[in-house]
Amino acid sequence: MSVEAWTYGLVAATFGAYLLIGYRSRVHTTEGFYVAGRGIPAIFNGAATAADWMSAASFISMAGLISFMGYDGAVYLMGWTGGYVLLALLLAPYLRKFGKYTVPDFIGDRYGSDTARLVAAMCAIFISLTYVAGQMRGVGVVFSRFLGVGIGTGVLIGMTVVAFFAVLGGMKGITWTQVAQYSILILAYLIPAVAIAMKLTGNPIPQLALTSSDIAERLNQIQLDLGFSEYTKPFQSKSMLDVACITFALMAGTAGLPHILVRFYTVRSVRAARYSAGWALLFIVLLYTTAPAVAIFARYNLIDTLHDKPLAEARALDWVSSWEKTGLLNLEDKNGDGVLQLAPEPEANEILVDPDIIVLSTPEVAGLAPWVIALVAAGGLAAALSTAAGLLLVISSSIAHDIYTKLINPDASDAQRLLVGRVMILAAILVAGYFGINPPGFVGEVVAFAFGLAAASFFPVILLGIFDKRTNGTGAITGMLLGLSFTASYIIGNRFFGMEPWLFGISAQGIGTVGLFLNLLATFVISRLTAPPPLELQQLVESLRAAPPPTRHSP
Amino acid sequence: MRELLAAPAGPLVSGVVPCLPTNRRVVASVFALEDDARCEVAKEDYLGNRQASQRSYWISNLRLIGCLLAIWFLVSFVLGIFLAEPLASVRVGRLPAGFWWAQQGSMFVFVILIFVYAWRMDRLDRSHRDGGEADR
Repeated sequence: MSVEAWTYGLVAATFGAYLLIGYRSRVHTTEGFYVAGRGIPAIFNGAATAADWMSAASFISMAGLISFMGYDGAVYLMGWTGGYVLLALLLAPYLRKFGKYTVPDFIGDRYGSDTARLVAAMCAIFISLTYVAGQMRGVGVVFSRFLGVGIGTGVLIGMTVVAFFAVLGGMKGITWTQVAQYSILILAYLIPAVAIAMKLTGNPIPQLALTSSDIAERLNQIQLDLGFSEYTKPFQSKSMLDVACITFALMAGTAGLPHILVRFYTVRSVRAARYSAGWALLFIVLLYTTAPAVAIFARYNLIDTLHDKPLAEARALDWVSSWEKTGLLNLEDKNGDGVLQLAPEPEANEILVDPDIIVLSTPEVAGLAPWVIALVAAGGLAAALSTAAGLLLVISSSIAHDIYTKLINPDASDAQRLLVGRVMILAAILVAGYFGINPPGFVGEVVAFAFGLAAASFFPVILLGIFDKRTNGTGAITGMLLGLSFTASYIIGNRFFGMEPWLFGISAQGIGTVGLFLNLLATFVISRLTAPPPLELQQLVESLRAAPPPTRHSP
Repeated sequence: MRELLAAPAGPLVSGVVPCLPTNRRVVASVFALEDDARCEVAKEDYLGNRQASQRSYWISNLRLIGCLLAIWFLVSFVLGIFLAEPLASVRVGRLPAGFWWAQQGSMFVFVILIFVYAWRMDRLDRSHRDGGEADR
């Protein structure tokens, strides 16, 4: 069977499975729609969180980015996993104990302020919308590369599938499809990684192959010979301070992203929330510790295959010609000697590789069977669709629950609230689909935004709301606005108006760290200069801190 | 919300006299069958123990979080970033140690930290269930 037939078959089978799961988990109450009836066991919530978290960017782009950044790629690895430690120790158990539906719920109730609730809801919508546009785009790109349909058609198919299980099943449908999507995406990532590890080092476990074989030493030597710096040498593209700031901003941003936080409302107990954060990170780390190995193997393999090879001979390779057609791989014999050279200087470099093809092309480069290539396509789609669904639910709940039910029509019946929730998720899908087909030029830039803003707004305010009883609404709102406006103006100034990174050279990606500390400081000081929060809010904090009631089930 | 608020409050601001809980009626009803004088003493004891227990639960929790976050900071920021250059000459397997901590080791430790927290909190929860040892 050809690659294309396999891909059609696998994608159709997985989509069919998602539709079936969505149909079987349809819900009839708002509790089911927003928090899956609080009945998800810890390990499954862990798998769903992992799928929710790992987007098209983690699956398709991350290993490629790392392979071009060397050591400095660690900012993504540590940043996007270390945040779960903050989440598990500082936020998730308390949010579960609080036990409502959304993140703005917590902020609004803890600070007794509808203004705070509204600011939080707007942040949640903005962060999630920017993020979801990229996911829909990812769906379109995978469709066009592997199935030969237009990006627009691909986005429409993806939208239809998500719409079906999200509208019918809400959080419950999304959770159980995410569990299935995690299984597919992790298999699709690990199988090619194991195969290429075996091929290059003779050790099938990528993490061990990376650590115990001489592959990194060999790559370092090749890089030096070609005039690059050593692959494992730190701080080649970023300063130490910038690496630390970006890592911390990504960590705090991870812990503050609303679509991850709401997942912890869906488990049965506080205890289950603690364990499920551990399962989530375990499932994520399975992919994240494989990625740096794939990055080194792929870079080594690419240089080994293409450098010093006659152009005609390179073009005779199947995968080279097919990726050259997509424009993501460019070969050009600049000095006219008929042989390809990789070089650090752009004017002499004859091999131009887009980071995005590293993961997608690995199975072909390693000469794996067609069904593995098809599985990678299905995995990329699973990663993009699962993240999109989680984000869409946050957008829907922010509008339908935080704004409509809490601020506009508090008397709405359960049936009305459920209907508004379903309509809003459908509307969010349409908006996301529009941006997927007509992407705003700045999608890439906006990722820095989502993490910076989550780090500078949600994280400090939720943290202080639990750990500092004296923090009041005035302090929290001032802190959020200060953190947001500082971070947003620095990112916008730097990315769109050519402003120099004036603060010790901290880049737009890392500035959220500074915004976070400004927010913490402002919230802390202003709360102490103004009246303490009312007794009932202080008691709410006390109740969050108390030992949880006993549970009769395993986590 | 109602059952959350019904839990007795601990000391409101550290260093200030603890405030009495608002749900005295509920607590008092526990002792309704006893005679008045004994009831008063028992009630004070009960409330005092509950508050002390909740306070020690929270302090143990904070201490545990502090220890685990110190390890979190050590493996990621100290070993993975700040000491990455000096550690380049040390090897983990055949990789430079700084590189290994930044791209492999720190992530394994993160997973362990979360499970250790969940496990230790299970034990802490059991020892403070329903307000503390004094209630058993």
